Amino acid sequence: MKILLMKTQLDDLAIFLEEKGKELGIPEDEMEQVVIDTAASIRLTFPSHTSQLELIRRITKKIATYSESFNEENLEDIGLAIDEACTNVIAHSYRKPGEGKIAVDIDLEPNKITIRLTDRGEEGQTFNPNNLSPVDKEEYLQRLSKGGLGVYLIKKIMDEVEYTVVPGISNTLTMVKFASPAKK
Amino acid sequence: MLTINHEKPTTVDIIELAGILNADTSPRLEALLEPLANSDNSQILFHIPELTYISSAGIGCFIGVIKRIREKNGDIRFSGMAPKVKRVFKLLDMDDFFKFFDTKEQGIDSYNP
Repeated sequence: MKILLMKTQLDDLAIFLEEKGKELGIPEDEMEQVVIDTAASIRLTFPSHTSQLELIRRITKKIATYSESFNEENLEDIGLAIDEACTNVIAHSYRKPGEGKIAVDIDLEPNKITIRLTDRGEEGQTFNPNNLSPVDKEEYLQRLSKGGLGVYLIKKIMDEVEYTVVPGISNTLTMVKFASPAKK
Repeated sequence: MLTINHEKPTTVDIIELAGILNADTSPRLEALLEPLANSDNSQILFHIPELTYISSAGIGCFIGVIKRIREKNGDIRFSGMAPKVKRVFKLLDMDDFFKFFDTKEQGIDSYNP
């Protein structure tokens, strides 16, 4: 687990940089090119129950706002994606609702958020990585009414979506969203 | 997280939703729609300016009953939908599948041309 730098430490670093830059006689225009970026890792663990879904969605959006680079639509997409992903996990991986836990790992970088959802469900069919697009409208509507289109939606709204399966052990869904270029 | 208000002052079932429609709150709406799906001529208007979020589970509620409802000469229509909610319908290619209106009156009137 990476350790998050406190804001006070970051402020210290910025001041240190300015002071040392002057001490060392580095020209100002060069100093202006020095950038500090920081990242954060957070793991949130929730009971595997649908009553947690809205909380998970809201806190994931909240965490994404800390990067200050995502626009409203990005944030809505991030919230929708985590909701759809957790809904799948809750629906498919544990036999009884409320048994087991969902672990949400979030890596936040200046223009990028990576969300990992790992489940150790028994059935091993959690995310159905081979979820191909439905072939016709009837099948599409059937799947939609049975809650089977979460993955389809996630792939549409997130920039990178990957499944890692360790047979019989775990399934990890990794979703990445890049901040949209600034629109004016 | 979901408030449902159902009124039927005339022939149209006006259902107002406030809050969010996700996998947790959808079952309640499904339960409300079941009897309507089994009735003839269910003219349903969801007036939902206060609905702030929908997931595929929420949209699945409507899809689960729409065939039956339309077969029995009814329909589900929407009014006052927020753009961010409409967007999820678009992402799921469902924006051509339903009629959307700006105001409740327009939605009601659409059933009585």
